Amino acid sequence: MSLWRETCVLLAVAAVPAAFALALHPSLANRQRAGLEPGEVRLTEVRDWGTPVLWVDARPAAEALHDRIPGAMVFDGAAFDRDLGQLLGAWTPGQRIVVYCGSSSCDTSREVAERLREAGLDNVHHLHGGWDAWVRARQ
Amino acid sequence: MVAGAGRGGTGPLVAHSTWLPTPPGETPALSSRLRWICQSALRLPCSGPVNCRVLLLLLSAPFLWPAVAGGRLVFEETEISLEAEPFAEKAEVDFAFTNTGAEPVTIVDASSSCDCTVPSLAKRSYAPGEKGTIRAVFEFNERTGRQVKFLTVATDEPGRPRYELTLSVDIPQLFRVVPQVLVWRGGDAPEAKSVSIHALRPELARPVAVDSHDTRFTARLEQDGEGSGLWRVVVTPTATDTPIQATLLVQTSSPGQAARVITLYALVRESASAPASRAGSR
Repeated sequence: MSLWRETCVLLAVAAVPAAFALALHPSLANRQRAGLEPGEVRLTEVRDWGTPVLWVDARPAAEALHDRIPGAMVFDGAAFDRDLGQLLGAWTPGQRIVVYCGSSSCDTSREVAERLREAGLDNVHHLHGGWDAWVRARQ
Repeated sequence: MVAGAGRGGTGPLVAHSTWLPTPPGETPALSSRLRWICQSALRLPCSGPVNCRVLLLLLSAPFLWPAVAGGRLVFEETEISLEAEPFAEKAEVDFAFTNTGAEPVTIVDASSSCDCTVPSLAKRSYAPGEKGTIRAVFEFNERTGRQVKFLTVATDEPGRPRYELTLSVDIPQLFRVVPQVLVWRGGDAPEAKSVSIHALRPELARPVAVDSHDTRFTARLEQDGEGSGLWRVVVTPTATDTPIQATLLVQTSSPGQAARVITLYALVRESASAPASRAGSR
């Protein structure tokens, strides 16, 4: 058996306990939420809609003002009532609203979308993968 | 090299007997099987000072290293739940941990899923056995209800593990407002629409007045029965032929606390071609 073949076999054998270590190690508790949550939408789906969307950037203002989806309005969830007024100024009844934050690990977009729905707006979504997904698609 | 010779079987396996004896309690059959795997299936050089089990263990070490070696943080609690007091503006919680590993641990990053929650550390490096805390300050701002925020802690441990901490806070909701936005379509009859305000803790806070900041809308506050905790804000536009956006402010009374204001919006808008919004629909 060649050295390369032996190495492959041994690595495969070692992978078994490694898999157990990965599953059981307490420090590896970071679990990525899989799939889509209620109200969450993928970028490809937004593009398939084919209708103008009101983009809402719920990232920190410094990041949103530096670069954001063209036409997106900057929305500070901490000043919801104030920024709701600004959003309504740009919104047409029936228009879809898509909120995004930085990445899959942030939950600001979900929170803002939920509050917009509670305020009485329909067709409100939050973007799966957030700004990171947009940047990946842009490249 | 000769120790263990002749153990655990017959035939060619005996000739390649191992340096380490078969451990007490281990059955010869298992030992034989291991040797067969090493020598026949894997064709490893199991004779000599390093036997098959040691060889396998050494080769597995890089994979097992994160699990068995280095520093390791153990948190007393990775999920903390609490209920905020009415009118509280923030929550501060401490996630206590201990470095139970044999090596120092440095926390290289602590981040939050929300800008509203800021983690902080008194120091970043912790010696073996040392205790520490990560403090999370959650500013409520206008949030109410059950809020769940996640903190992610990254260290310099082998394998770069990430610890996820969860902070759940129930923030008392004083009012339920449905809907916050009223919409009339251009050309609709200028009929009255209403906003329902349910005072969930009327002994703590209740609406007392409403102000329209636009003369093209009139607004009045009505209570739905004494002691019901329900109020309605009835809003009527003077006309719907031009787009309007108005802000209505509902003043509330909170004994011993700063008065809070509920913000409502009234709109007259042209419709888009997409399906209609339910905002303010009646």
